[in-house]
Amino acid sequence: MTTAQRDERVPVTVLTGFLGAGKTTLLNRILTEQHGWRIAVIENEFGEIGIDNDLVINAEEEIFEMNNGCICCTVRGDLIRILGTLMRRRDRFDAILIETTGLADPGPVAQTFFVDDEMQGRLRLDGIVTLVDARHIVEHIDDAPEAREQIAFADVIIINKIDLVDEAALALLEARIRGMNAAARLIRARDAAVDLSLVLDVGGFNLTRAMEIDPQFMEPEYPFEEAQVFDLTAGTYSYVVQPGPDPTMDIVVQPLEVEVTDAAALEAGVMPVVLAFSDEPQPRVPGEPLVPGTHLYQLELAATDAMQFPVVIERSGQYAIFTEHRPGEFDAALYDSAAVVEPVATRVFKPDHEHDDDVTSVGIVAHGDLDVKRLNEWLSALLRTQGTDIFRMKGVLSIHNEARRFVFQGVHMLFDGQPDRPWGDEPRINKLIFIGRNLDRTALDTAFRACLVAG
Amino acid sequence: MDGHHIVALHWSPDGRQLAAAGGDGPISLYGADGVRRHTLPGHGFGTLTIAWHPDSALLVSGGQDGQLRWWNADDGSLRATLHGGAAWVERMAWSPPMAVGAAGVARGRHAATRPVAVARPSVLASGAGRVLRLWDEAGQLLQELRDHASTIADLAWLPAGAQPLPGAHAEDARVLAVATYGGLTLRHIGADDPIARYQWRGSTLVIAWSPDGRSIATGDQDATVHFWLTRTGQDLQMYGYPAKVRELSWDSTSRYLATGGGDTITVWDCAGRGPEGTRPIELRGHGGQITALAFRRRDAVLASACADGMVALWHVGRSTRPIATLQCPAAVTRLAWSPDDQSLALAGERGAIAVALSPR
Repeated sequence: MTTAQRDERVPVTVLTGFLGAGKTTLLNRILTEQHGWRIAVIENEFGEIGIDNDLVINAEEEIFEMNNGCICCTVRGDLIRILGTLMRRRDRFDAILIETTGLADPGPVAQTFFVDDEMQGRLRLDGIVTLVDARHIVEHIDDAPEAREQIAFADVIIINKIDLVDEAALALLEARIRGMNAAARLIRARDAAVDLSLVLDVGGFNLTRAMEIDPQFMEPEYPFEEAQVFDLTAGTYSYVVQPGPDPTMDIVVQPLEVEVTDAAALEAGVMPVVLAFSDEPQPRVPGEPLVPGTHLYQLELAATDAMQFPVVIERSGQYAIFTEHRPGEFDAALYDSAAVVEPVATRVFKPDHEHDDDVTSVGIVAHGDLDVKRLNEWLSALLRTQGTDIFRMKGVLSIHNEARRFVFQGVHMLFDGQPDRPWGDEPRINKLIFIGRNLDRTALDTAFRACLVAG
Repeated sequence: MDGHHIVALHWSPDGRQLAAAGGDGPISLYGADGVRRHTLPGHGFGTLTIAWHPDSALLVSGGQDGQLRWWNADDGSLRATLHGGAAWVERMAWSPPMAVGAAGVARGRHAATRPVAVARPSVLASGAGRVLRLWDEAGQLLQELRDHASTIADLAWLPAGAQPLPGAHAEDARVLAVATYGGLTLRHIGADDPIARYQWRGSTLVIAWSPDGRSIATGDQDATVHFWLTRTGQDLQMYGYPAKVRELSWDSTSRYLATGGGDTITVWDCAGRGPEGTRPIELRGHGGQITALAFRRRDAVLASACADGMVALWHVGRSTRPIATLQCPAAVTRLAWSPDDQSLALAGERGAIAVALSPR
């Protein structure tokens, strides 16, 4: 139905991340790899790409305050100037990449593309890519508001230097990042080696792709906290649990149909286990076997020293062990006849409760049609009062008496929206996400539902 | 200039040559007959600005290589290459040849105090990043000032023939206006401290000094136009533009200021108490963003260019309908009247340059 108009505008990617996260390595890859793209790089004044390349332009960050109607926002004046000049070159670029300084707030860069009409005509902000150092980002999240903002703004988060941490730490980090920004795509990398198509054309600000990027934020509340994936050959194993904080733990040992190499690929195996966890569990005392399949067992963990549960694997393959609690709390591990078997992937389903990050995502899914007047009043009041704390928002809305879907996205107080394709046979469901600081989930959800047309 | 987006187009002050700079670097010099006489390599990564010395023999260019290049206009040879002080040299302006001086003021009680024009060697001001440099005609650096709040957005000298500003230096009343984020500073040659600061919390893009020197108009990123009255330092702000304003032109009598910032030309009438509290003249007819405006010198005929390729002439104050239009195949980005007003040069986004004869 949609006449997909080719967007001739040059896509712009913003690259953020702390010093040492690997931005320079990534930029070097982009500039030297034979990808067939002609890419201009605007490097921050402290950058040190060290490549003699006329496609690299050095920019001194100049943040200007700007009045845009009744809304005041900050923009990058230097980018307006530099990009305006680049657009006058005869040799067109396929893409532009803007590197920000380590401590930069991505807000002004993103806002620049909303407020300047000259730039809107020739360029489109494609996405914000944030590079984090797997080993140090946790400290930065705890100590530096800039790190939290860079994660919150991102469309893509590259977790770099994964070789410096173990699988469990990585899983924990991913869960924490997802808790902050549920809409971003997470990519693991070593030496900033990532497929450029995952970085350069992500459509993060593309309205019609607004909700197709990652349905992650619609994640339900899971009845288990962690899954560990193992490559197992046929044989007898032993799940060994030490005494821990809880007297019992529910567990499922699930054979996997599709090979899983990282935590994200586990997705398909999750639903049957969610169902299994709603069954009545079969109690297991130490020494009783755990049979692979969608059988829910409840481990009795009352003993005062190590407890063993035999696991018999008849068919070699991949298995995921889903546990009600995090195995680390019990020093739980799978042993073969000789030693501990390391998981090939780990996924944490609930972030640690100890991290109560001020930056979170609030997703709202609601059936029904919206009263456009009430919606406008609510949104404009919300952005006026909380716009500084809302970093990103996007969504698809069902407006009363409107045959088409309404898609929108925004950065802080700046908002962009339009009707796109008709709903057709698709169920009219509103889906939206806010990523921000100190968001009140209940208040947002209640206020949004109050905009629905009764009946 | 095939395919080059023309970023600067200027007649030599004697009207015998037209210089056009392409965004990718080369600079072409044309004779008044339209024949290309020289193509200068310009600046490798891109030329950003050019400025004719008042004697028409010297053309200076600035570019993305951070350099200023001094070219002999008659044979196209390179005289000197000098560093502008930052990554890009974006703005340049030669001081006018005849500068106002309040001669005699400092020479005792009986001396005359009326201003007289004194011939002085021209000074070139260059803006690169936050660095302002002043150069003499031989390319000697006279002065450098690095204390600007942000990148220098524009530079303009008090026009020749204007009255000296209040508080101006008796010996050399030449004043340079420098625009940065946060406002304007007005400077004398050789002085470290500005003679005035006009503060405004916004990003000025272009400035234009009225020919009589009484006001400095600015076009701003936040879609406003300001008139800074140099007698008092008062700021008149004009709101309501749909887009940022980068096109400004004064008529030679300092009565009208034509402004772009959208697809309507807005002309402010500064006669009497204006423009404060007055409604501007609105000239409609362009079907896209206005890209250039230029009044001719002898009367209130205004040329306007548009992103849709249309060029129009208007007689401001007589009619709000164009007196002539010309449709070009691509966006027109620059306009320049020859010094004798006989012809109007046009330059386009794709490198075409045309010269139209001026109507009577």
